[in-house]
Amino acid sequence: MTTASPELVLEGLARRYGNTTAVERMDLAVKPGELVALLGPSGCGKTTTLRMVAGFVEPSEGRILLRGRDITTMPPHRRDTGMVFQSYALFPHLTVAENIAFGLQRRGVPKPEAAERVARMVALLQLQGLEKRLPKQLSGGQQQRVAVGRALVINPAVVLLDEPFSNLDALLREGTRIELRRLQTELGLTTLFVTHDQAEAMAISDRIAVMNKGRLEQLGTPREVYDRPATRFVASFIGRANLFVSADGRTSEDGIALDIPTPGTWLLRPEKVTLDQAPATGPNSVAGTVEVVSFLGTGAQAVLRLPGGRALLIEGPASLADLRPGASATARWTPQDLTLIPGEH
Amino acid sequence: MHASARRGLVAAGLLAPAALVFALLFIWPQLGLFLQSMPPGAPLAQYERFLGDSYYLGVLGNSLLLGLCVTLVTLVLGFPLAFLLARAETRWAGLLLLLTSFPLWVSAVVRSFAWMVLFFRNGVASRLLQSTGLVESNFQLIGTFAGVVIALAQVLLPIMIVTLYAVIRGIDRDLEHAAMSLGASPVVALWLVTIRLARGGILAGSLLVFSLSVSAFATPSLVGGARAHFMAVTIYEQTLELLDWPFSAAIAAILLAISISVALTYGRLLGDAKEQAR
Repeated sequence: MTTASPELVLEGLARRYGNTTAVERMDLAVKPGELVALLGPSGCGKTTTLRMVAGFVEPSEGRILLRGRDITTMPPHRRDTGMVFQSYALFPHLTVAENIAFGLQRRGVPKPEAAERVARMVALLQLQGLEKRLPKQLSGGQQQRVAVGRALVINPAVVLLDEPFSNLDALLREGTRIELRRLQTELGLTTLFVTHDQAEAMAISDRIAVMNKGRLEQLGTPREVYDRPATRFVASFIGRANLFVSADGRTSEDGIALDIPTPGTWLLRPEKVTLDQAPATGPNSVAGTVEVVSFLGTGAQAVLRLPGGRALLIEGPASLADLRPGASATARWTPQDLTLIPGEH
Repeated sequence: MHASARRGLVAAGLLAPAALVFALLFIWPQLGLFLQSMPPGAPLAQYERFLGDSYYLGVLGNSLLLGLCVTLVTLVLGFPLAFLLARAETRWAGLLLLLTSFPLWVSAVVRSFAWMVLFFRNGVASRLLQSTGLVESNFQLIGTFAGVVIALAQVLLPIMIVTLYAVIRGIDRDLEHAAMSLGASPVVALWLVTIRLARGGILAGSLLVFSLSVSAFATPSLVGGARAHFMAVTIYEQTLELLDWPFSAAIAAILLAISISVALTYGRLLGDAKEQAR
């Protein structure tokens, strides 16, 4: 699969509105059957990128190729994309079955075949018995499944998901995203998925495209963007981060003793730090005052206030929660736990 | 006092002023009119006279045709404009909407005189038609059915546009996007989604324009001139020129009955449309 030619290619894709840039020259190649997340804070250009692929927003620059065809200026209805909208955008005047059948009818699929494909999709998404209902008569989770079914039943070349889980409550969200990932893998659907939720992106993506202010900051597997973030933004947006800026490799800007091979910005993930009551022992350990502890069930989190004023975030076993706020403690880590962020100087 | 009883009382209190005005100024005179149309001895004579005379039936048909034509013209002209305004991503949309309502700001009489100037044989509109060669060189729009349709459509267009605009604004744009990404061309998406969902607005706007057209007086009589055989104009003639009050009362009652039955039919259709769109 890794050697297959990409299904969807964005080449130098850009969108400007007057003087503001929504998306800045973006390159991305999605392989067949791959799920790529466009991840970033609101206003980072991820939805604009998705809408350019769908054909609702015209690119100011660049090209979009789908299965080798240039679709940059093609109207949406000829593109062969299946989109799931954040609001689901179910047709309120059509039943569940009619909603799912809409795309098949537009493609002139014969009635018996269309009915069979709708029935199969209804079964696949566990919507049996709801075929004759109108969208307003469904729960949020059911509406979401109809929206997914309507987009998948036409076998699109690429599935576009715009924050498909954001209108579900937390409990339903996790189950639904696992279900969707299972479906996507089973059917081998090439998928572009917009989200602002990094945990969601990590959980179900093959690769994540982290975007910020219209730029693609990093493209990589969830492990790569977590373990080796390319920029400071990626480091703090994906997971939690303690960052040290050091000009000489010996101490950080705020006076913490480090022992690192090169100057630069270094990342220390909270789960790499341990906390104990013994005094600090030179580089890669620092004493401070416990400020906040929170018990998280599977573990615990602590904030250690350092003399220089910085707050160091630590994640560890549940026993961390036994620490009393106000107590003195020492944070320790090994030099291997520090990762250099290459994009910063 | 029970809460529900108090609520009922409050509702009655809130309804009372409008109900009083409506009863005093509409239902009471309308009843009087109705009684007048049925003089003792021959209560149905006036109605028989109207329904038995092909001239008056023609007037009725003319008025209904006028209502239909004006409704169609405003719908065909108004829908694209309302759609574009509703979908415009500019802050000028509100101002443009305001601009479309300009005809409503001018008195019907002044507006009709303006149309008369344009419609006389040497008027710009008539000249324009003459120059196309489709009509004779002495053609004038004044006094024609088409002229009345044009003049009425102009003033009623804003009513159609504002009604449609509000409804189209309420339709999520992503519904059109969804239809298009599923393979519907923009025209098909408009037909299968937007127009279906705007049905309520289309019916409401049509009802307003239709009932205002069939009962219009100033524009048809000024632009239509002596040959303006429309209901409201006929009522005026019977009342003030021929002083045949029982007959004019009967014509007025017939016009009202038609307006009410059209409104009720529309109301039924509107209810269905709402039920579907919800």
